[in-house]
Amino acid sequence: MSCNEALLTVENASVRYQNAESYALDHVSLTFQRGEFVCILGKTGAGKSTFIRTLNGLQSLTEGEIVYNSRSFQTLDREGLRRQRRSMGMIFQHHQLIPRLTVLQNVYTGLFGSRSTIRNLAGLFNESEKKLARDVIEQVELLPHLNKRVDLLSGGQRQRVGIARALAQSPDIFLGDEPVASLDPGTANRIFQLIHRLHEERNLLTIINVHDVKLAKRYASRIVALKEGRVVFDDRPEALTEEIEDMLYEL
Amino acid sequence: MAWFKWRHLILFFSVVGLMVWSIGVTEFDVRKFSQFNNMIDFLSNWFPLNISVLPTMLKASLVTLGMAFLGSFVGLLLALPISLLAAKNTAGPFYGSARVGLSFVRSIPEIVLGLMFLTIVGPGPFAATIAIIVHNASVLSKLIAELIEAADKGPQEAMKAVGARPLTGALFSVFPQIWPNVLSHYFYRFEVAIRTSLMLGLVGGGGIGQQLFVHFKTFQYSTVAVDVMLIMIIVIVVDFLGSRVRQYVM
Ligand SMILES: Nc1ncnc2c1ncn2[C@@H]1O[C@H](COP(=O)(O)OP(=O)(O)O)[C@@H](O)[C@H]1O
Ligand SMILES: [Mg+2]
Repeated sequence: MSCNEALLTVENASVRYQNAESYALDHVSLTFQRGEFVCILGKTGAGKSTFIRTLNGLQSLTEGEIVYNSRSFQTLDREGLRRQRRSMGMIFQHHQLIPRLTVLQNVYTGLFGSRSTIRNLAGLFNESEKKLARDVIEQVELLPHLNKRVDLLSGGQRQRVGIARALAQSPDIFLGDEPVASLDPGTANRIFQLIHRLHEERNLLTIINVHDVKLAKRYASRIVALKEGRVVFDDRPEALTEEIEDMLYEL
Repeated sequence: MAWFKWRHLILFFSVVGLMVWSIGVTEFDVRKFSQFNNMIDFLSNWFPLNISVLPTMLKASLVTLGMAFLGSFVGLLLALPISLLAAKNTAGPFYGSARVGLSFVRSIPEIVLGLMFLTIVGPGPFAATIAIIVHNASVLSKLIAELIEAADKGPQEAMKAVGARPLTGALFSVFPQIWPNVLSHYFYRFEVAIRTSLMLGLVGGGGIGQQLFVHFKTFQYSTVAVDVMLIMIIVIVVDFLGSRVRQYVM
């Protein structure tokens, strides 16, 4: 965290879904720097998914602004937004891999944003792209399953394919929407460990939704807590007291 | 409280009324079967089978198979891109017009399409094949469009998130999921196309259907018997293969 220039800035970001009477995301302002490992906490419905999806433009804002690489999403057209997304790897709760395709084929899709449509449709990959795909699969320890169909893998393995796909984007930012919520505690911890290691190796900005406070405290360098779409906590993990936890989860 | 609802009684009498009316317009009258001897007479003319025409009729059967295959397969090839324009999640601004256009084409019965193309390009299997192509392209487009709409949204969102262009994203996230269902629909349409090409044969579209019609009109019943036998074999074999293939691709 030596450089203080913000990589990603969220200013007054608000989302109001159609026909909803209140904001799902309520005037949130946050600044993120390279190297931060941020965990977003909050009970179900607090707006975590909405927030993380605004960061790469999967969800557009009703009000406010997202600035990434000194460019505001609000000024970009669809093509511009697409280009911004290429350097933001996203990991989902249900991994959202393409069924019936192999591990390698799924990882190749991570390269799609930076290649021509013709080369994507023809399935042509040059030597450096092939090497990149193998390297990231090796990093998530799935090399033995390279040509296995992803629907035949375990939950933890699938999530590692999801991570490899995000790595194939050579991202500056890792976004995660509850990537370990459907995994058992041991597997969840190992996945977090992996994400954290890759985060350190590549000096990324990582922002992950998580509902397990223990995991957040173990790995995060910063915790942001949402309640009813508003930021109610933003500090180092040590500062998250039990009272605040109780307030968050309404215990 | 009665054990039935008045509403159901009204429904019951409406259905009975509909049946009476249908019996009237269809001249439905089982007594017409009283001249059973005619039937036996007619069927006895079928035997012995006129085996000498078998080679020619086999050739005609292959023409029918060819019409059905080419018609349904080219229909599928056309339907794949068209379906992207007819599915809500991939069509963009084309959705409305594509849907309307497809409904319009689909509402034209194949037999009418056949008669149309027969007058344009002249009688023969070519006209029938074109009719089958047009019909199947429109039917398969709608079926595939519905598969695209029902496909799991997760992979589509993931493709958006990696920054893939919309076409690449749609092709890669949707088609691997729906492929087995597409093939299953295709083989069903192929089976239907066999029946259609028989029908189109009756109006001059060539193949075994046309042979059957000609032999029937010229009272060559022992040849008609061979035609019917071949048709039954084709239908049974294709039904069987179709169900096997559909099992396999799932
Ligand atoms: N697509 C949507 N349409 C309408 N309302 C939504 C949609 N997605 C989420 N919401 C609502 O927005 C609020 C925040 O949801 P979400 O961001 O999914 O919270 P979390 O991920 O923390 O559980 C909830 O009240 C939820 O019901
Ligand atoms: Mg959520």
